[in-house]
Amino acid sequence: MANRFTEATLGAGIFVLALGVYVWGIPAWVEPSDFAMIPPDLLPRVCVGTIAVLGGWMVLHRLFLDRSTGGAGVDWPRLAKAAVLILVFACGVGLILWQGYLIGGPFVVASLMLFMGTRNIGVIAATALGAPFALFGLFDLLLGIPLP
Amino acid sequence: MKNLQSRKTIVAHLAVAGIATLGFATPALADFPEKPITIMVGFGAGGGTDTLARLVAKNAEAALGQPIVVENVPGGGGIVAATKLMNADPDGYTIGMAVTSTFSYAPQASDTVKYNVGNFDYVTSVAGLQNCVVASKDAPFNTWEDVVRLSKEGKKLSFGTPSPSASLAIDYANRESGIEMKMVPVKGGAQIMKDVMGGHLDMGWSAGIHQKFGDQLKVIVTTDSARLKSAPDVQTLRELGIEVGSKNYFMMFAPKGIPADRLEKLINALSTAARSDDVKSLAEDKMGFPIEVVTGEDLRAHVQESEADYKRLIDLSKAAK
Amino acid sequence: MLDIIITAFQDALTVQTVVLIILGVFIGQLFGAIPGLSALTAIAIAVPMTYYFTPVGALAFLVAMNKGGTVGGSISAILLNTPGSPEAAATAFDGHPLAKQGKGLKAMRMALFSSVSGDLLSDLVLFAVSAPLAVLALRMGPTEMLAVILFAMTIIAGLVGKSMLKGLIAAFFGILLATVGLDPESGTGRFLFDSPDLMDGLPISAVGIGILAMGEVLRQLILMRNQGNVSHLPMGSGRKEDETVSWAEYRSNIPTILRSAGIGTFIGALPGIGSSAAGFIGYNTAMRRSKKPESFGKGNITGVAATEAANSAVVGSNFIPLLSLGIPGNVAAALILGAFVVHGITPGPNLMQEQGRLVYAVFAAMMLANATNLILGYVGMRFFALIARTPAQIIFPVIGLLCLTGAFITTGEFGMKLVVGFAALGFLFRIFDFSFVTFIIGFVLGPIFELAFRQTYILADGDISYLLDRPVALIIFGFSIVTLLRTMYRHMKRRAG
Repeated sequence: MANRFTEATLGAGIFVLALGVYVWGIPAWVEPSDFAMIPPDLLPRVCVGTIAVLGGWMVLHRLFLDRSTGGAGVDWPRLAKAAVLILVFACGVGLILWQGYLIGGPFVVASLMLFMGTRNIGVIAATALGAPFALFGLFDLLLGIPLP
Repeated sequence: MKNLQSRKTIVAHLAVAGIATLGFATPALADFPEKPITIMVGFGAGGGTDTLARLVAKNAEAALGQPIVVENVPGGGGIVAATKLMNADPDGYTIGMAVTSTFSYAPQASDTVKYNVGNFDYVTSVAGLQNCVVASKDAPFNTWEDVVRLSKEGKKLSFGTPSPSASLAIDYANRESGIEMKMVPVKGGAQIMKDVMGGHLDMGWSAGIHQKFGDQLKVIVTTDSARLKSAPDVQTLRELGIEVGSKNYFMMFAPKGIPADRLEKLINALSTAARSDDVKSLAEDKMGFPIEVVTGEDLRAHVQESEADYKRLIDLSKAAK
Repeated sequence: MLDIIITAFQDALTVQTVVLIILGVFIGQLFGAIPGLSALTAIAIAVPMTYYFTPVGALAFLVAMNKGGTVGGSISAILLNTPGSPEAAATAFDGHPLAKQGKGLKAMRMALFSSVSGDLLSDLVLFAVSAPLAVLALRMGPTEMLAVILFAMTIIAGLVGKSMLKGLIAAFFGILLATVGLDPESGTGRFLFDSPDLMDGLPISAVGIGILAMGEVLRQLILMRNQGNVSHLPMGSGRKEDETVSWAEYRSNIPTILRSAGIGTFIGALPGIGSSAAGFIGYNTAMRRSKKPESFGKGNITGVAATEAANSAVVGSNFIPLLSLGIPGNVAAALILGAFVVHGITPGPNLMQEQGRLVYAVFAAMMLANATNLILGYVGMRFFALIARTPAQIIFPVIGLLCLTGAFITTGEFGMKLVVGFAALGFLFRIFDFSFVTFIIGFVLGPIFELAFRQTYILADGDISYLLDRPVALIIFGFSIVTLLRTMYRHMKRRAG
């Protein structure tokens, strides 16, 4: 578990976000209804409101009540790596939808393998081409489910 | 003199013949369909709309010479499928199946719906929904008049509704009769029947599914435009002087702008399939929906009529608040 | 009676049906075991194909797939920690640690036995007492459902993990995301952002694949980075007790299995709640009753047994409302309902009278499917275990692609994009120690909870005596409060101690 300051910041962030959604987001995104007995925005408000309250409590709890300082701060390197991976996946999805599964698929597999540290070109090529093509063959050709 | 005239006539004839030949050669009459056709069903798999779509599709494949693929795009009572179809290519290869209220009610009820009746071309209806109000066989009332009487004596009855369009109709009926009911939203016709039979709801809306439960349920009043074939002794609300109750079809539609001949071909194949014996027996005997085929512009007129009716109801409802 | 059974088996033991059962179980297990796919996808693809089979064959095929799927789901959960669907998420809690201890085969075996046992038990309940149970289910109205869901939620609250606050935030966030879509009463849009794809809500498969499977993939990609050519699982020790489940072990878990099967059967008979909730409730109940609750989550095989028995038991009893009333309990049952109708069979109260022979044949086919499930599962296990030992550098990138592919097949273009988003969310959850379990439960139960609440509110019409008139609901409410208090007490005790 991260240390109390990180947790407190997290709580504060959640509180602010939730408040924003409550005040501005819900009216903007939830359509009101003339007909319903229970307004459509009731449950969203309950959820967001509770989240805000809990977030605020988290801040107070961490700062004042629970003095234990154990645990590390945010693992920034790890977060950064995850961001890179998400980016790879997002690009992969884009590529699949734009250029086709047989181009996007190998891209995804190859990039991920490189990320993980594989250096052997042969292995990368084999997997990056083998897997997408096999999947394509199974689903698109055999079962008739169209892949992009 | 005569020669000149006859030469002009010959030229005229040739010209007409030439244009006519050109007309025959236009690509619009090239073979359609050349690849499979997709039907987007606006309701979940297993439901009435879906089953009818699959039956008709299977039957029409022979006439069209291409397989017909049924795709379920559920949500909002057909809204999701209609929205997707609005933006689809009007080449005749993608069509949809939904119900009348998807086009006549939904656009007026919510700003989220971006289409209206005019965004589509209409292919054919398949069967008629059997809209009515049902109650458990042990309920202490048998007709709408009984219901009104009981409500006026002080008992607020509960009504299970599957959709806002049904609620709208019953709200109107209630206002006209001077009573109030608890309108309970329930997910799906089958669930409503279950709750009515289990004694949790006094009454419920059925689009035809009540027929599966035989004499466990009784029809209180019909909310369709005419008496139901399966309940000929039950009055309609209109007969009672309450101006609500309209026809609703399970129907197939397409994005606007399909070339006329393709639309024609689709209409012919699908409406014939709907009238076929296999479909008829399954729909009418097993499911309880009478086959009613209305096509093309007649269908559009029906939907527009329904739209006007819903508009009236919505305006009245807003005025009453 | 006996001749009915004999006829049923005779009808079911035709070549076509038997082949279809074996094929169905195989496909179900395969799809369930592959992260990103699920038996549901398989069933959806298969339904149109079944038009060409005989009625018994078609139904046997689909049912077999459903059963195979529940077994297959445990495999990816145990070996890869990437449950294909939320129902197997709790299997991974103890299953994966066991795999990391080299006891993967043992865990899979226990999962298989529990799964089949649970399935068998609920099938027997289906055959024997389906009619009276259906009548009982009729008595469960909106208020009773509300009570049951609240009860389910309070039980699962016991799984919040270390921080109750964060667990609750995650839960409410899940419920919030479940409101995306059209309002159930008025049909107006909530959080639609002008996208018609969202009108039916966020698809559970995309959310599940994203948070559960891809979230784990991300974690492994980072964890096993630059680790060389190794697998994330250790080599099996080769010792017999690590690979098999001894009779004594199975026997000691029988009470758990029976209890979980009971829970699953009950939940399955009530349309709408689903196997995910059943899995978690089974797990949590076993944890509470155990003498060593702290050992759960670290490799206690009872956890695996409890989850699998519960989520598999739902499959059989889901047919109770389906066959007797024509109301499908979950998506798989709805698809199978469609197949029924096209073959000319309309489930409903008259089903047994009109089509009794067919129904019994389907029952017989279900038993055969159970047996096939057991055999194929047993045989296929080593194969899967071997594949899972592929070096992490190869297997996780491929699984990443599989998740994307599965998402596309099940939920289309939109779903594939969503999956990436939810993968990011899942990762954030893990990094900041938020319980994705409570999130998923909030997301899954949110809609039914909201609907039940609305219905109860409208029916009560401001009159408290409405609630007092319903003893069953009140009793269940009472249970919920008691459970909640006990959970909170236990939680406080753990933090203080």
